[in-house]
Amino acid sequence: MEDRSLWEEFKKGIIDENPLLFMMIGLCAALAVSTKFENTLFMGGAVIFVLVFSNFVISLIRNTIPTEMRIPIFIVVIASFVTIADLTMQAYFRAAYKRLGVWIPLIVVNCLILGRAEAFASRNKIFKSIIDGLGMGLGYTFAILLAGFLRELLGTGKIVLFEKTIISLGSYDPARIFIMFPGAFLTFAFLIVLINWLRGVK
Amino acid sequence: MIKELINKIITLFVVCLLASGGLAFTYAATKEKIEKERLREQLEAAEKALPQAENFQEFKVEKRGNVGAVYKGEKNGEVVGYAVQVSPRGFGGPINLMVGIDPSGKVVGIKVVEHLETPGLGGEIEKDWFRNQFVGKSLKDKLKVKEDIDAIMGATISSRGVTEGVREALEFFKSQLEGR
Repeated sequence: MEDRSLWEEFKKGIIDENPLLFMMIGLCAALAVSTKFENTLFMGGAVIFVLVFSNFVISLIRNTIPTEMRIPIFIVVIASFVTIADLTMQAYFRAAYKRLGVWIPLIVVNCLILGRAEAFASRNKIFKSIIDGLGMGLGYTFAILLAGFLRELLGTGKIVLFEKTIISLGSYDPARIFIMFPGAFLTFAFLIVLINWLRGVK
Repeated sequence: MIKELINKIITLFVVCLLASGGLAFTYAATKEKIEKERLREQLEAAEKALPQAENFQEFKVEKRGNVGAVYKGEKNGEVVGYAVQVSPRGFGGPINLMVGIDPSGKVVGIKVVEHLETPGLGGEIEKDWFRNQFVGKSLKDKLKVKEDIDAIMGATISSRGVTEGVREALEFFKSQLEGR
């Protein structure tokens, strides 16, 4: 693998190798959580936190873990950070925590986190791993923010953030399908088209 | 061979030790705040469900069915009603409801504390128009969706869940709290 610059390692997660829209991993949680823009904000934050810290720790101990035990150890590390995020949200962001429900603990099995741990953090230096985590996390977050924004706006006619309606489409009759399951797939299909266009593939 | 095995055991042990340490620390650091928030939520809900009460006291009852906590609401030393917390089954999971009941067994108000329903569909159970339907209801009413309760379009299960929860709260009141 060529030695990429730090900026390239960061940038790749955002468009060229966007985890959700290009690599298409971690879709399950994204589909479920993007019914409301505010949810995606917190989910994105949690994913970035877990990804950056677990990449950091895994990269830190990468030379001391025996190969045969790496997956269980990755899981222990990832699960610990997810639990920390879970407890912190429960204490300080209770409203969002209640809405996100089971999806926060499910970050443990989000392929993105385990995937980056195995593919990158366990083979690269600490700082680079942190940057990779940050880039991937931001790419994931941008994707779900966009999906959440579109789905909430088109599906309910407004965007409600922290109990304040910040955008309203007035007399628009909402297309409820967007907040239901088929709408999730539709929205993501369009976002994938968008990413492919941004990547230059026609 | 044995040396490698011991090495692996030690590594795994250390990693788990550090993880548990970090978790124990976070748990201890957030425990009080979480409990405070939970209680605050309950009391806020009780206030919304039973607005005429000025203070609330947790009323120790045996938990039955979906009924969780009960709060006795008082004003000027007199009992003005009870706020019964009930968690009926919804579409996405249990719906945490607080039902305010006056001494005559009529619903004063309900507040949705927590739910996992779909925003925009089942999530509409939080709306005033839906919750106000239950005001004044008692066990004398049918309390049935599509009869005396209007369901949310596209969210029948959520609507039914809340209705069943209100019924259960009223039944609990009748059997355990009436006349106390």
